Amino acid sequence: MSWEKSREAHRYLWVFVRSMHWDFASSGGTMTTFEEGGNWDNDFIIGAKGAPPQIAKYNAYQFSKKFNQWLLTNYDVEYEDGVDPVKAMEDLAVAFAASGSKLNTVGDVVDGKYSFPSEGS
Amino acid sequence: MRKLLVTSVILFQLLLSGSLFAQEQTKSAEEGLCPSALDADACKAIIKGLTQGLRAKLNSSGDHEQILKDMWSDKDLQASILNSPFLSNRLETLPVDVTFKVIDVEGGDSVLGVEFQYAKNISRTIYSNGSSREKSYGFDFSLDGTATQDDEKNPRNFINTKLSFSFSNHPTFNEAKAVKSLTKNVFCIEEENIEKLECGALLADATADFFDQVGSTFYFDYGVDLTYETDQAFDAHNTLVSAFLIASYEDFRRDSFLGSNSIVPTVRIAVDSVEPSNDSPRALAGENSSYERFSGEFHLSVPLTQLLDIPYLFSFNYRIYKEIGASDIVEQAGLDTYHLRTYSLSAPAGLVVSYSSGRLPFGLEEQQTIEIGFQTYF
Repeated sequence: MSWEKSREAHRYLWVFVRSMHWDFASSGGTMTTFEEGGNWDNDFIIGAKGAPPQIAKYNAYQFSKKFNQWLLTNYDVEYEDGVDPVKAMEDLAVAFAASGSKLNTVGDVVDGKYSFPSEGS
Repeated sequence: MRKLLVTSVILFQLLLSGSLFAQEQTKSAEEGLCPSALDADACKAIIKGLTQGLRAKLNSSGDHEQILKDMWSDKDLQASILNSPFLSNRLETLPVDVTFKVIDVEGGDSVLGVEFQYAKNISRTIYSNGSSREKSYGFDFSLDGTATQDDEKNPRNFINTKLSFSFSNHPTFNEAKAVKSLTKNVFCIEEENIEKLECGALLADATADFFDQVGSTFYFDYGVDLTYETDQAFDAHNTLVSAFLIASYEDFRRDSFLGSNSIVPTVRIAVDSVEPSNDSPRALAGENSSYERFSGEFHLSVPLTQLLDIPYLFSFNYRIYKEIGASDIVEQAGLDTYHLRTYSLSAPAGLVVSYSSGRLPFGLEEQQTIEIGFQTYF
C-alpha cells in the first residue's frame, strides 16, 4: 500500500474523491491536502458509514462506475493492456468496500487498472 | 476462560514474536512504535528489553490467565495496542478485513472484539450495454461478523456467509460528455498544482457539471442469495434461500434537494426461506419448523455541510427481519421480529459517534450500543 503525490493514478483518484466531497474537502476555508485525503475512510467516501457489507459493496460499485466514466471521458486515460473493464470495476468496488479501509488502499488498485497520460499508451 | 487465554496468547504472540514476521515488516513496525527522537538501534534495544521483561514476567508466574485477564481489563493498554502501527501492519497482511474493537457491556466485563469481513466477486458478465443502462449478472461471495474472546459475551453474535447470484441494472453515465473545464485544466492534477485551492474549486465545479448531465438515475440489483447465518459458537444457525432486490436513487442535479445535498437513499428487501437448526432460540422455544421471513433494510447518508454548515456526515441504517405467519409460540417468545437502528455521525477520517438500538437474529434481548472510535459501549 502506498499513497504518493508523485504517482499520477493516486492524484487522479484524490481529485475525483475531493471533487465528489468538495464541501468536506474545502470545509473551514482551507482545502484538505493530498496526504490527509489518503486517510479518508472509504465507507465515508462511498456513503456507507454504518451500512452492512452488501450495501457497502453496492455503493462501492456505483462510486467505482462514476470514477471510471469521469476518468475515461474527460482525460487521456485508458485501461492497462489486458485489463478486463468488468473485472476492473469489481476489483475497485471490493477495495472501496473493504471494512475499515482508507482511500490510500485504493491508489495502487487504480494504478493497476489504468494507463495514465505520463505512462503513454 | 480457556478461550480468553488462547485469544490473549495468540495476540501477544503476534505482537511480541518477531520470528513470525518477515524482517522487513518487523523493522517497519518497530519504526512505527518508536519516537522519532530515537535511532533505530536504540529503539530495537528498548523493544527487545520490554519484550524480554514481559516474557520473564509471564514465565515467572504460574497464573498466566490472571495476568492476561488483568491486561485486557486495562483500557490504556487496550488503547495503545489497538492504535499501534505494529498491529496495523499485521492486519494489512491478512486476506480478511479485520478491525479490533473494545466492547464494554453494561454491568459486565470489557471484552475484545474482532470485526471481520471478506468479499469476493466470483464472476460478472455484461449481457446488455445500451446507451444509458448497463445490464449484467454475476456471482459474489461474502463473509462478515464479529467474534469476541468469550462468545457468550458477544453482543453482536451474528455471522453471515453469503453466496449471491444477482442481476444488475445500472446507469453507464455514457450520456455525460467531456466537460471542457476538466479537459482543459488537466494541469490542475499535476503534482505541483494539486494542493492549490483555486484548482480544487475549479475541478469540483466541473465534476458537478459532468454528472449534472445525467440528471437523476436509479440503480437496481436483484437475485438470489444462499446464506448461512450463525452465532459465534456455531450452535444456533440458519440456512436461507432468499430472493432480494436492492435499489437506490441518485439525483445529480444541483437545483434539487437530494442532488444539492448529495443524499442517496438505498433500500434492500428480501423474502427468505429459513431452515433453522435445533439450537436456534426459536427451536429452543419449542418451534423448530422451517419458515418464511421478510427482511428489509434502509440506508441513508446525509452530508451536513450544506444543511447545517457542519463538516459531518449523518448516516441512518435500519434493518428488520420479520417472520411471516409466525406461530403463537414464536410470537409469545418475542422471536418473530428483529430490528436494528443505527445512527452515526462521522468525519471524513473517522467515526465521531454511533448509536444503535435493537437486536439481530439470535439476539435474545434488545441492546443499545454507543461506539466512539474503536471503543464500543453496550
